[in-house]
Amino acid sequence: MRFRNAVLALLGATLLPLLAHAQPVSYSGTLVSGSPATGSAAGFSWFLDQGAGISFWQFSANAGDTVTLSVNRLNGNFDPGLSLYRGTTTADVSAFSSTGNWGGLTFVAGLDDEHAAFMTPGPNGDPFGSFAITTSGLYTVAVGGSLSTDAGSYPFRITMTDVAAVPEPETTALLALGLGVLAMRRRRRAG
Amino acid sequence: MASILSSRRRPMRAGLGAASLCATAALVACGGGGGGSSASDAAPTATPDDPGRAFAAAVNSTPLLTCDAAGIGGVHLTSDIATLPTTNPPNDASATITSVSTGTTSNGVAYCLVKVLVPPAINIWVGLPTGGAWNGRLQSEGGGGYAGSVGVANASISAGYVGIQTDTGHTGGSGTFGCIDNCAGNNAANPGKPDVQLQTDFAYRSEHEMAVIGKQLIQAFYGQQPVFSYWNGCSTGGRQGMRMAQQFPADYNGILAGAPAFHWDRFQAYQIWPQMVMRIDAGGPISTAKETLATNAAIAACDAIDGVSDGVIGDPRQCSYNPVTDATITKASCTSADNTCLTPGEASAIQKIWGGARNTSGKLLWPGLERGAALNGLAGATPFAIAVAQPRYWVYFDPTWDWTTLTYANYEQFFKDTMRMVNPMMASENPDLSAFHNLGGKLVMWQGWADQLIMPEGSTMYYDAVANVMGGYNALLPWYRHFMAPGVGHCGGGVGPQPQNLFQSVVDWVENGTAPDTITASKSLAGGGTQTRPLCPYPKAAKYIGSGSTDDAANFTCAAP
Repeated sequence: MRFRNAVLALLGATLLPLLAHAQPVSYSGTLVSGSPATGSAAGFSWFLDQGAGISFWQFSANAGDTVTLSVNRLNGNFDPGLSLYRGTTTADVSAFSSTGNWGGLTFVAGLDDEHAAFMTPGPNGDPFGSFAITTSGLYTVAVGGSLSTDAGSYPFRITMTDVAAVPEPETTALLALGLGVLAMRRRRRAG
Repeated sequence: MASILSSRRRPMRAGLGAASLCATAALVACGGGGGGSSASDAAPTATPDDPGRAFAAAVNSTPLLTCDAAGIGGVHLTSDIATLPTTNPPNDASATITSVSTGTTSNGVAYCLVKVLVPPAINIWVGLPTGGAWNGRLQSEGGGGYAGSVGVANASISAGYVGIQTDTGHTGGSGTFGCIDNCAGNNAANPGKPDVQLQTDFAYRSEHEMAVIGKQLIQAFYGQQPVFSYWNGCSTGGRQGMRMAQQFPADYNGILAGAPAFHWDRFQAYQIWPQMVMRIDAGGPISTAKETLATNAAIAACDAIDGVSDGVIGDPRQCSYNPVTDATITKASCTSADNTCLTPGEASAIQKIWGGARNTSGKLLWPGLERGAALNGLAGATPFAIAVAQPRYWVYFDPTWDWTTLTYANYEQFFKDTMRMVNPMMASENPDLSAFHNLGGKLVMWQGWADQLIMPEGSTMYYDAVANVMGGYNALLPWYRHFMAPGVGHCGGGVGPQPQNLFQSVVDWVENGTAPDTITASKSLAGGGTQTRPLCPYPKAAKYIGSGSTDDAANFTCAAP
């Protein structure tokens, strides 16, 4: 018994610190098209792949949609960067990569400096970009600091707009024709 | 017990000589009063018997203890930050007096020198004025570069201060202490490990202990606490002062921080950038004569932007001179041996040095040297020592790391590696100074626009950052001011007029509430006489009013950019 307790104590002493550092991804929220949200992230977290300082968001989009993402710094000291992935994850943040697949997520793109700084003074620009969605489902957005003035945590605003595919006139006419044919068949069967 | 008189302001000692020496002597980063020299005097120059203002509080300048092992040498000291559990000795908060001796400064101030060892290897030397010379104040003198040496704080003691210096916990200024056992026997396949204790001691512990130990000794020796405590440093000394304001806001009432090396990781990662671009774009080092040619062309192109043609660029951020497109000095026919012109590759390299370190997408990683600054400090025949020491002993722990392996393609990774390894320990850039402010501290920061070692936009960026989190520039003015000095080099030197009385401006601000509306800068004119100019609280800058001599500070005003 004494030996068992000693082993448990040793295991606890060894594993607890590791467990204490484990930090699965926690989403700050679900983005709704056209509704800006605010969050905060650490100053170099995106640039240096420091997942603990990243702010994670998710949204749902359909194939054919065009999704536009923008992040604006709410303090001039912050220089935000953004990465978009297909899927969602509960992986540990230590696996975070701003430039590739990780934690079961499929990397889509990274954004940095596309907009002139939202507030001045401040280094570099803010992320902004549009994406053609080819696969319906959930997506993850990671927002963090690129090259901010320091490693501190700073606020930002994130905006997602999702524009659904608008059918071409020819497509609409074809659809109407198809529906008409189906309706006629049903009527004949019923008759 | 007597009411001890404080120092009266006197004309400055000639700061130019020491400053120029500092800027040119091997281009080493300079400290405050200890590790080097500042453009200002390191300490007030009044002698202890100067008549002048009296402290509101009485000061006992007569020692209660003798200056020997049985007296001050028998005092029990404690460090308030213990060694790490992994250090030998572990968890040790002791501080041991290793030596007590007497001395006299060159101006005749007698002092008691107490040498203290804080484990594992921090040496702190405290000079306690005797003979009634103590002015009631403490002054810690900052170091330069990687520090690594300690001496008597003569400048401070001469002015009646208890003067303190430290070696920051290691011996020698090569930077190898960042790696356990100085990375002896390590290489890329077998890298060393960071010496967290020695890095900690260098980053902040030793500087904090200067105040802790100094105040304990003052209490024991004079029977009271110092009425005011000050930090005085430049370069590394500037970083140290800023770190104290951020992390130990109660240590010092007033801080003078010149050319602060507070973005230690990033500006030092930049320091190898000029060598890399010269190697790639120009095929190797560019001669100093060619660099001077480009610098002079930039000055000629941008001198008048500030309204005065005086051979000095007022704000080099407004200068966009590009040697690549200047056909008067850049010629396809030019050779590397011809110092009267630049080859296209040389012009490209110099433009990239000024343009700052960037990734392959053009993102600015760190701002570069300014147009007007001497280029041969970082873009000389060989790399600046720290630019190579940091990657070897603080980033890759590989003494064989070869800077010539850097390319435009892998530079960003090098920059990231540096940030990951060095920033968490060495960054002294926290913009939240509210604790220091709430304690009534006063802070004067300054830097030369022609700093040839630490990129000046780092200090303007930091001041901007503090303004961004603490209510804007106007909210900082009552307690924190930053002065940019046109044409002035690293901690002094350069073609611009040199800042004067910087440290005394801090003292006056702390003790009399007299904020420095301007700092006067001066230089001797070739034809005789002296030019004076005001340095203005950033972001304002001096502007000529349009009449009167441009050599007289009275004909300039501080104007917003």
